[in-house]
Amino acid sequence: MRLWRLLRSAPALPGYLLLTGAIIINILVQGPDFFSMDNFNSIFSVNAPLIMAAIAQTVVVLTGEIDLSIGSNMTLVNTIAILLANQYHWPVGGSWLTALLAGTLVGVLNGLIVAYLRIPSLLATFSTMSVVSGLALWVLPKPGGTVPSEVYSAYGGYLVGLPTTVWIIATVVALWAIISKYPIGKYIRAVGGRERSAYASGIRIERVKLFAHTFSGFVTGLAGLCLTALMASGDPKIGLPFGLNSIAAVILGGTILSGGWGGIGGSIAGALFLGLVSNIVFFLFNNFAGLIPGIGNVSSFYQQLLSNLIVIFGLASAVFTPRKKNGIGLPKTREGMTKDAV
Amino acid sequence: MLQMLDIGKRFGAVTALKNASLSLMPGEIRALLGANGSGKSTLVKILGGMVKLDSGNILLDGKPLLIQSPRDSRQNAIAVAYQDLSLVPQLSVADNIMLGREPRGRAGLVESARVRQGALELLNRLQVEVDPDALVSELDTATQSLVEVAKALAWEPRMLVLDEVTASLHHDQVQRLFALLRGMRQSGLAILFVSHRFDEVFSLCDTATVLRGGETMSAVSISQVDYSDLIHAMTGKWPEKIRAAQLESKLPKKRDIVLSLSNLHVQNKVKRVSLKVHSGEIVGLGGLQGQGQAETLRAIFGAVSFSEGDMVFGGAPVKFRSPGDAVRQGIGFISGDREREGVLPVRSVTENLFLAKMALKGFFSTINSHWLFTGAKETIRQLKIVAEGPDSPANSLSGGNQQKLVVGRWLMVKPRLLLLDDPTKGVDINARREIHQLLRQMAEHGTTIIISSSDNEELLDIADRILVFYEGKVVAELCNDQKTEAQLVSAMLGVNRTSGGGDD
Amino acid sequence: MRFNFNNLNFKPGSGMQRNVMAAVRGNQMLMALFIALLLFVIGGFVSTNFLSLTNIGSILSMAVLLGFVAAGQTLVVISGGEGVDLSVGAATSLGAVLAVEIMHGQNNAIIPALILIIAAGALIGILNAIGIIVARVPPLVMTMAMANVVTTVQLIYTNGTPTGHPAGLVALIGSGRLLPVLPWLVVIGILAMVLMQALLRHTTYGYQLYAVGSNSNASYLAGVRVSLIRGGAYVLSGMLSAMAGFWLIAYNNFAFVNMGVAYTLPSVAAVVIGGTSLAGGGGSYSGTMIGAIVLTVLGSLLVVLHTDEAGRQIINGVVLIALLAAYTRRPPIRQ
Repeated sequence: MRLWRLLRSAPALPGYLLLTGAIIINILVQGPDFFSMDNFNSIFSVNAPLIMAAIAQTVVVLTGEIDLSIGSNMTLVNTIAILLANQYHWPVGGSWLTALLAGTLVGVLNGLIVAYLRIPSLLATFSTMSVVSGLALWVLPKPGGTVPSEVYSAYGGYLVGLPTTVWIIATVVALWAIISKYPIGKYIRAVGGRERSAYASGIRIERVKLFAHTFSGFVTGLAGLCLTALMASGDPKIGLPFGLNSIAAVILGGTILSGGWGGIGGSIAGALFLGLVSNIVFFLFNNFAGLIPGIGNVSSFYQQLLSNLIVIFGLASAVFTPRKKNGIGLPKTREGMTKDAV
Repeated sequence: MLQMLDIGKRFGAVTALKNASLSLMPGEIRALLGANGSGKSTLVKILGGMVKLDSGNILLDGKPLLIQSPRDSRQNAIAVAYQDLSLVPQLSVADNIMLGREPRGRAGLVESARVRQGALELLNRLQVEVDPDALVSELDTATQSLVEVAKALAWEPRMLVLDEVTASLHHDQVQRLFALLRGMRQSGLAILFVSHRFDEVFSLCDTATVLRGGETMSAVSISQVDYSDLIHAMTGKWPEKIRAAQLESKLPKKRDIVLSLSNLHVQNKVKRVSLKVHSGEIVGLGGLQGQGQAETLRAIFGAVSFSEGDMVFGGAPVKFRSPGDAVRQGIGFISGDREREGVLPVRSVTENLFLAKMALKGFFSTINSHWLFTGAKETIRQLKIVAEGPDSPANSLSGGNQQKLVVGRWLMVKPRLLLLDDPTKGVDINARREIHQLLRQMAEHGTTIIISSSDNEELLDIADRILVFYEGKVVAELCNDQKTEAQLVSAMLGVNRTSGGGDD
Repeated sequence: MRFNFNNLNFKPGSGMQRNVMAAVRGNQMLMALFIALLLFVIGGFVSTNFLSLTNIGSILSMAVLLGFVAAGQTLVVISGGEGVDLSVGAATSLGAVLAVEIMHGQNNAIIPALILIIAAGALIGILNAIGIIVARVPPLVMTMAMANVVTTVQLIYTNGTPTGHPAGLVALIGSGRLLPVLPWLVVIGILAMVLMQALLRHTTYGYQLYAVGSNSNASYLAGVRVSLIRGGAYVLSGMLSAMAGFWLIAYNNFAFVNMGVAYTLPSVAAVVIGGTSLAGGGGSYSGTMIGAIVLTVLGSLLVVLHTDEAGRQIINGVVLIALLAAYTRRPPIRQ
């Protein structure tokens, strides 16, 4: 009974299980090298952007909404940071802070459209995605620019014995943990769990949604900066895969898309799972692709295909998690009276 | 202390409240009574800030009170425990109870220890044994209702509104709740108690306000009235002397049985329902809302699955996997929830009328629009549908005419069995009468009809036989001379169930 | 996420309000037509060449290509339930790549190419339908992910750069003109409109598609097989988009990987501008064609005004937000 309760209240469980599986397979293909600190460092620094994007996505999904513009927002942050530092010769700190502010503003914009205009977030953020990637293209029409070597070596380096990226992620996790201790943390889940109940309890749902989107924008901004430090250059298409991959990571981590159930722990595990899987795929192709005639020269395309398929698997994996618990509606509202006619 | 004066509210074409008034004194426990659709819930929701009022005033301590959101309502010390609950299934019991008024400590952080403690205190006062860390979705409905009450009490209200919270409670839970409420009245709490259970009203309340058709019919002191006075106020008719409802059916046995159910069971909703329906018969399903009538109809139609029981239709055992299967076997279904389950709002009258017929035709048959057009015109004429023409969109029609479209949809395919789930909800009298005529005509032509209704008059008017549902079971079967409003009302309130009643 | 499609239908307000709504909706196509004409006129002021018969013919050709991509999109959007297909661009690209690779300029390879293109499109649609209906992935997310897969499939198939070119006959149709203002493509576009109209208005499938989009619960309870109807829309969408790729290379005479991706967002916008509500259940293909003309004229105008890709994306997004704000707002909780 107690175990059952523990499992029930650990939405991240599927994410952790998948991650453990991926780690085991990774150890099997890579051998003991897996356990080196440098390997951990590379795993975290390569995957930090996705982890941050997944955290940003989780906060929005917990309110029962979704953000498709995360990828393009990361691109915008990347292009602004690069443009200001390279073309206008702003100091790195100033240009990166401005970029972070821009990312947060995109979150505010999304929040206003979703909460106050009441446009369904799926469609709203789909539209802002187009606007934001247009802006990014306008900021930086062609790939280019550089990041000072101190920045990217610090990003890929260590701080007090741990990889820098682990510190960055830990800071965001701690920030979220603090927010969760404030009423707003509860309200985010309440709004996502049953918006009507939250409203009836006197919660101002518009503000909660605005806050969630704003925070998400801020973390997306950090994700964009991590990506910039990782890639050490600017590219108006750099963030493209992160929109979908962040959703896949969230679903893999056990957070339910209908809202109110889940957490960032699972999403981090989901993101690492996706990262490790592409690690494994990369490793396998590098070592064995040569054995299959005709594949060798296009193996990177096959790698892409495989990771795209894994993302789809991640998206579809929601089918294995229990559907939104609906034990609460009484007949008046007729919730769940007809089977959903899909 | 609180006065609601001449409150009016319309939802689209439906008038929910007109001239509803209510007053509440400190220390008073007032019952709010009324039949289904009399506007009780709307009045409660206006108090709770969930519904905006169109006209009328609310006075608190003599001063006008403007409620613009549930937050306003709660901040003015009005707390509502809703029938459809205001809980969040994914949060813990303690979090739910303190939602919106979390005790906060240093730097504004929520003190989870105090949340838990506050919740525990309230739960103890209500004598509910539940782990404050359990998720609300894991609780049974009775406990959820009590948590809802605890949540309302957490606001330390001066006015507590309980909207049918006892509906799912056991007898002793109700008694414990009442003991607590009586105690709180001593300290000046005003309580508005909405219930369908007369025995509870008489044991708990001091005064009663009765609504009928959205209007306040009377405000009385409970000690000066009896059941029949209240039933009269609710229905406008005096009940005759109530006899025990009879479970024996007196139907002519010569007609074929079209449908028979035995021990039908739908999870949490329908318990061991058995019934037999003969060809050309109109069977009514009565009872308060949500006693399992809707689920029974939907289980027959394959729209919800039943866990146990057998169904025989047209002589063969069947279990439909989807409404599509049922329609192909000659069953039709009309929902009273037009907006959600009836009309295709933006589509034309013609398209609405031919929907069931098209569904039977597969995918790639061609359509002759001229034939559709003339067919639709003919049906519009036959059903006296008021519409600009066959091409005007369904949502340009009045509610009654929209519902006629749905009836016409099935008229076109002439099903063997037609199921109607509260089909004339919010439909005006004339359209209702016309729909009844159509149903009778269909029955004369051999269609068997099962109709559930929240409107007693409708059932008495149209049904050959009425089965009364109470808490998922058929508790009475009324036919011939027992088919009276008084019999029906007493059976549906569970006032005098024949045998094996009590609280199970 | 919570996205109750039913909430998007207009709540029946007062009779008058409803009639006004209906009138606006009925006239949205006319509005679009008016906007298209207005844009042409503005174009005429900016550049005298803009209104030459040849230029109008070219714009119409390009509009027809967008209209082809948006054909499947129209069906999917009509089917409702958050329906939108973001894999149309990728399916178009795959169709284009397959077309050049298989035809390699030979007229006798046209038929096999067509068969294969349609089969590939159908496969994309079937996979989308399974993801959306069985695994209940939101359509927008599912089709976006499918687009990525289809793109990598093209990379693998062509090794990055497709070789070949359309058969002579196809190229002739793609770029030839019956009259200066009437390219063959436009003639085919008109033919497609007639066929789509027949599908939507004169078959039981089209009939039920509108019904499902308008109110899926009501349709389900009336015996309509909602999943098959809705799934069918995605399959048809895949096939129609792949066919659009065929005409795309007929017009351009060459193919490159992902050449159709630029049509994805405009296809959604064309559908919405043409009066098909994103809530589903309404609209027409002729409206979509007009929407495609509006966007193509706007695009040409922006080119004449030297607006770059960035500006076009921003304008697309802003236009979409404005349309959503006008047509798809959720009702407030408080009644």
